[in-house]
Amino acid sequence: VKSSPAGAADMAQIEGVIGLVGKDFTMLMTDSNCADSILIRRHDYDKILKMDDHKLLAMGGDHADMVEFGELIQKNMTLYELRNGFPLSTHAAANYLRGEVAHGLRSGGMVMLDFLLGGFDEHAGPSLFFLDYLSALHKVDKVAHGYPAMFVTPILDREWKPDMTEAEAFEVMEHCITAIRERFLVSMPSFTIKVVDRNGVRVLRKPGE
Amino acid sequence: RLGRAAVSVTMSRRYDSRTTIFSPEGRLYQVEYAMEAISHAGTAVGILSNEGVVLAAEKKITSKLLEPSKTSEKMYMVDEHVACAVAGITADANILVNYARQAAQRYTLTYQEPMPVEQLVQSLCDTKQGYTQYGGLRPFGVSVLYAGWDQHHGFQLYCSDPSGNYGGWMATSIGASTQAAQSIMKQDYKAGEMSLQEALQLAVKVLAKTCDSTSLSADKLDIATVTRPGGQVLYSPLPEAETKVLLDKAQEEAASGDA
Repeated sequence: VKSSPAGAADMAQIEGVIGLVGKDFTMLMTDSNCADSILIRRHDYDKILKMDDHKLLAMGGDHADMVEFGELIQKNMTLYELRNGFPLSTHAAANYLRGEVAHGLRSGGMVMLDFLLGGFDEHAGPSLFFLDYLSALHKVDKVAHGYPAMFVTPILDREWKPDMTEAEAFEVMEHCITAIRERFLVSMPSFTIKVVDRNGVRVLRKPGE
Repeated sequence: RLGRAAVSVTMSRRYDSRTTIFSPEGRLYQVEYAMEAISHAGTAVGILSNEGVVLAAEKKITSKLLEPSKTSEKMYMVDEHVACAVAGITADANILVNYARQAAQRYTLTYQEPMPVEQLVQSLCDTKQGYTQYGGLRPFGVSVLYAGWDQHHGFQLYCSDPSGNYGGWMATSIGASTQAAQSIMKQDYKAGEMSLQEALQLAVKVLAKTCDSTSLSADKLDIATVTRPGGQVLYSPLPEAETKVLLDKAQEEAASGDA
């Protein structure tokens, strides 16, 4: 998979990663499929990693990279917090992540993943960062990765507004799920939804639910 | 007479030449000798105030024939939010300041944020420590005062020495006459109640008392502040005219017998 970036990118496109920023929280959603070409191995795969008490990393793409790279970043962030007595800010973590993906691009260790990093910081409030496998980094209010993004972006554009409540945001996510199930060729019976706010990380819908 | 002291002196000669070994008494002689070198250098003091950090240093002008340099040999800007004052071997200090500047930029390149001040200090101290444990190279003959601001701990003042040890301080000094400087600051420093102006005045008072007060003039002092006007951290070298005002006041008070 790694030796053919183009081929790998095709397969990665199938995975849906969606995120939006609310009044005082960031909500992330992924599909819970673990697929191998045309076979779906399982419907309850968790693609949203808890990076620290106030950060979530949703990933779409190569599942081996999800585990190895995701956990590497997670452990490095923990190390930073242990060494320095405080965690990285979401903005700093996003830029650190981008640097690691960028490094992989020209060192034969490409990371075949798209990311959404969602976090909550005391001074910055909730934030959402788009990062793709070519290390393009953007701070955004609402965005999605993968083929599902084609169906979901119009919904986000029409229904997102500033300062949404958690209930409103959850409803938007449900509309996204409906659109994907209605129009996307690949069957996605289950979605994982997690939220991060001042109090930490919560699971709103478990993988496989 | 071969007393115990005499034996130690002749024994210590054996442990001088390699930096990376202990003496039988558990001392690192090269590190101590580096500190000895620093004790002959121009004094530098750092004082934390409510409105920012003051760094003040005495320049050792070695000859009238020296061209006055635009760059200081005592005071350096490490990044937009951190400055440092040094005491010791100037050539060594240049290397260390360069390390510090690189470390700060490397951090900002990775995280797109200013490097927290204590992490910068730790990074430089880890480098210094390396020279006491492996490589066979002598330690740096420099002590450093770091003044900076970050969002985690606000204004901070740190001091490091050739061993790679560092501490966070409210007021401290490096170079010559540190004992005298510390005792004056211990008396006059009011924790939590110092304004920037009071800190500046105290710094100049300390330097005036510990240096040769009669020959001290404004052009021999290097003073800078790290403040945060309007939310933007500012490293600001004091113009000589303002230094003169502070010095005149300090010398006046000294002359009038103010303790």
